[in-house]
Amino acid sequence: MKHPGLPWLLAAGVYLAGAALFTWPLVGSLSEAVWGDRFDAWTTMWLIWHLAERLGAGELTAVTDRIFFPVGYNLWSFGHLALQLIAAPLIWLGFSVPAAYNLLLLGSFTGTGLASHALGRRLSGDHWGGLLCGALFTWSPYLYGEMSAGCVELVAAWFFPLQALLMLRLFEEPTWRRAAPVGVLLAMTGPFNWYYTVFSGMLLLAMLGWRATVGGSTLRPALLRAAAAIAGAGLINLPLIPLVRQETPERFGITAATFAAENWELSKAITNGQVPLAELEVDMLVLNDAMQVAVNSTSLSNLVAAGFPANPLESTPGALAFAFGLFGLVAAGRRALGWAAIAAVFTGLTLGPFLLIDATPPLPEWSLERPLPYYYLYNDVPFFSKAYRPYRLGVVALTALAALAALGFGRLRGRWKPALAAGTFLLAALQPHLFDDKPAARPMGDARVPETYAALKALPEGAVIELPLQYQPVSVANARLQYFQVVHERPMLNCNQLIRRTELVQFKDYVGGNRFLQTALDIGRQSPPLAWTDDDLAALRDDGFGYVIAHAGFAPARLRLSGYQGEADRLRQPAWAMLAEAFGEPALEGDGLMVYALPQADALTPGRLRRWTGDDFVEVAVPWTELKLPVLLREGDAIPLDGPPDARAFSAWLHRLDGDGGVVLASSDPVWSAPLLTPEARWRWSEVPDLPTLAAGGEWMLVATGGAVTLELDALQFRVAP
Amino acid sequence: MTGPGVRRGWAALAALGLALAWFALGAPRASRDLIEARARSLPSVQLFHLVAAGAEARDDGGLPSGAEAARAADLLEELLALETRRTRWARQALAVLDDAQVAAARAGANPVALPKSRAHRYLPPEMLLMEATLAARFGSVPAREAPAPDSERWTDAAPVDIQWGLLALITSDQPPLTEAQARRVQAALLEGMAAYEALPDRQLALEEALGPQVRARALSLSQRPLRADLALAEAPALIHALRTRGVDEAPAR
Repeated sequence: MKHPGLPWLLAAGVYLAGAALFTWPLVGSLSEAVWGDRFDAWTTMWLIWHLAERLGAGELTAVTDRIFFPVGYNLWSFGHLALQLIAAPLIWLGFSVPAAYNLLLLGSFTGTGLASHALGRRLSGDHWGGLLCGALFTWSPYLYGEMSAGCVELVAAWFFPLQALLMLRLFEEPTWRRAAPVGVLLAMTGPFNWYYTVFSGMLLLAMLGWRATVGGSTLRPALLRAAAAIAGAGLINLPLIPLVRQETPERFGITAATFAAENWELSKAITNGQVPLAELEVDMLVLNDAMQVAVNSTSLSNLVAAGFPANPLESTPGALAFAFGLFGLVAAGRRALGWAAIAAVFTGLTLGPFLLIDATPPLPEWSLERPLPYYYLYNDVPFFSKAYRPYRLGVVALTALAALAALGFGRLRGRWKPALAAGTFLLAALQPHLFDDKPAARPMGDARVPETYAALKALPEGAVIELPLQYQPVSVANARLQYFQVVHERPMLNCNQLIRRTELVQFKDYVGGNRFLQTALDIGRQSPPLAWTDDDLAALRDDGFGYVIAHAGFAPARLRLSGYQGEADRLRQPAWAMLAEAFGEPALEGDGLMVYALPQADALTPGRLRRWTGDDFVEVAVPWTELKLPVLLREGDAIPLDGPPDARAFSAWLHRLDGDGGVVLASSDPVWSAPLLTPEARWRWSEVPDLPTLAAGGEWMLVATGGAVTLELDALQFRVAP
Repeated sequence: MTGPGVRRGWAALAALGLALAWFALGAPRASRDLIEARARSLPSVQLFHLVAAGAEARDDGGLPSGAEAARAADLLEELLALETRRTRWARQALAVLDDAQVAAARAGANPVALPKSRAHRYLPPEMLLMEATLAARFGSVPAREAPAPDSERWTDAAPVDIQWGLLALITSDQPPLTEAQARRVQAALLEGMAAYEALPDRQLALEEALGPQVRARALSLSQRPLRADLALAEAPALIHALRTRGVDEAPAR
């Protein structure tokens, strides 16, 4: 006799295989790469490691000073801990952090697939219907987009189909026994993901509303028990509500004026890290928070296309889900109306407070004059503002669309049904490889940590300050620097979680009280003079800092999504001169990493001002630096540099994208050259000291040697006599 | 398929087929049309709107005075030079091509859909694609090239049509460009890109120098059709007016 669990075991295998296909080529590099070279993947990996490491040591506390040292950061601000905790045992078993993260991701897809499979099976009556439902829900652009952004906690979306399934069971037989799991699941959702808790509550209310329109003798007990389950879940989560508020501080109302053109500009300047920290005020941050509501709304052009984009902000339930939703509605008729209504309402809510035609701000006036339903819910319904990323409400619409498909599938008869379900499963799982901008063809994020960080661990005690210090994730470096802590294990001031205004205000207060830290802030883009006193260094010593780390070489972000500010990562002169003159030889050097030890107290002179004006540096421009475009040089090709004849030194950032050639700095008269560093696929800062004096008519130039080379260039600077 | 739901089942499958066909064929086009319609309606203040608004303000006495007026005059002159470079580079590129190449460019002048550029804030993707193609095929411009004279061929085409034609020629490489031609086209292209890059910031500075009233007027002008060439014809008189106000009403030192 066949074991009843066997089909489910088989289904688990099918969804795991589907996950491998959907995320391909991830399974080939579980320990070395991650999908999502943005911010969240790196901070999530950091969180997995931190939870495992602290739990293993028996020292897990809500507030940690491992990041944002010495002020400390409240882990509840992440808003999701339970899923990451699941991965902790993998770390204890010896898996690397990226491997644990990737296994968690594959497991999340599999779990989500099984949950939606169960819903589909119930609605259709067989496993083939389950497979169709599971495919449409799990292999969707929404979940792929969240995976691409590194939001594994959103890929774990099993709560929705499970919640829908439990509610259907309750409607069928409204007993307390069947109501209890509804409440338990809702209560459990919280620690996994507060967004999904609110969204699950919305799904439950929508299903109750639908049930109420049907009527019947079991309506009253069904409503009563469901309401009790929801209330019970609320009571269980009551103590956690202050912690929820930690993750999303109080959000104020929005109006049409909130989205005025100048506010878009201000919001862009804040998120690009271009507003000086000292000028940041709470009301600006509140406004910036409010702008995220529109930024995270689905635009009409994206909804119409329903394509398969890499960017989660452009994602929708997707063409397959909409098409099969229509199929289910036609096939199932009146029985499907409730699901269709839920799908329509929540798809409408993804459009946010005002209609966006595309993602280009500002919003048109006609749109601002006609608020959408989301606007009223956000402003008037308690807790609804927690759903401040409207596009994510698409996951509720997706649940309803997948359910519709399964319901319709169950109404049909024919031998071709398994082929339809299996074919759809395969097509859906292959979408990232076939459609639109084929997001699966993009490069993955390199999760290997530079080896020098292991050596850093062995240096004498002291917390670190990584340069540049940023208050916003203006490039992916900020998040990666936090992730590198999994190897060096030293407390660090840098923190990638300052997008929340409460922590950002604390950061402003701490950094604002120390002129060295003010100098370190966005030092890659900061204009000289750079100035601080020895007292500032002494204060850092007293706080427990020991090292300042600068990066003369690094692997650039492999993706350049909108708003990319990669130039912020490249320190230029006089910053390098400041580091060398103030701290001397690096305590550690390698992989482009320069680890400088903060001077001991006896080497500091109270009140001594240190200042670097930058007057002794001249920056030269060539078209490719101005346009931020790569240049291809064949052997012997030369780019003339309009530098001073009596320059003493030269420095530049180079990034070799392609080709085997090298680059030298050369002078035409006297004939002279010196090599510049151009390791493959890395930005590298090179300095050439002791230049010869040019003869009259002589010229500086960059010359390709040894073959062709495609380069990006930045910060071409000559040092002259002060 | 059998049973009572036969007709409904076929209808459902037909709906599925139609929906999939719509998403495969109609939806991308509809989405693109929406984006283009939105782009056309954006209330960005173009240079010619600013000039037209400035001319109106001159007549109403609403221009700034003193240092701001002088600064606005400088910025407007600079902007006009940039605007000329932005539109003229393609004609300079045409000047270095032979007749067969120009004919090929004319034949390929129909715009085709390009992916929306995420690589650059201001530069149109066709320029980025041209630059990348030329750089990959011929390398960089090794030295400063003398600008080619403006072409007198294909004068009935708008600059944007010429740019699309050049892109078609460069990407197809039929007829192929010689290295010397490619380098001079590249030099002209880089000049155009530099002008494109510089325009928005300078325009913003001019908006600030002209003051909020002129900007508001320009914004309202941007909501209705305006002949750019007629508006820009007002520029010399506007510069003169700003210079006069800049000198006559400068605060005494």
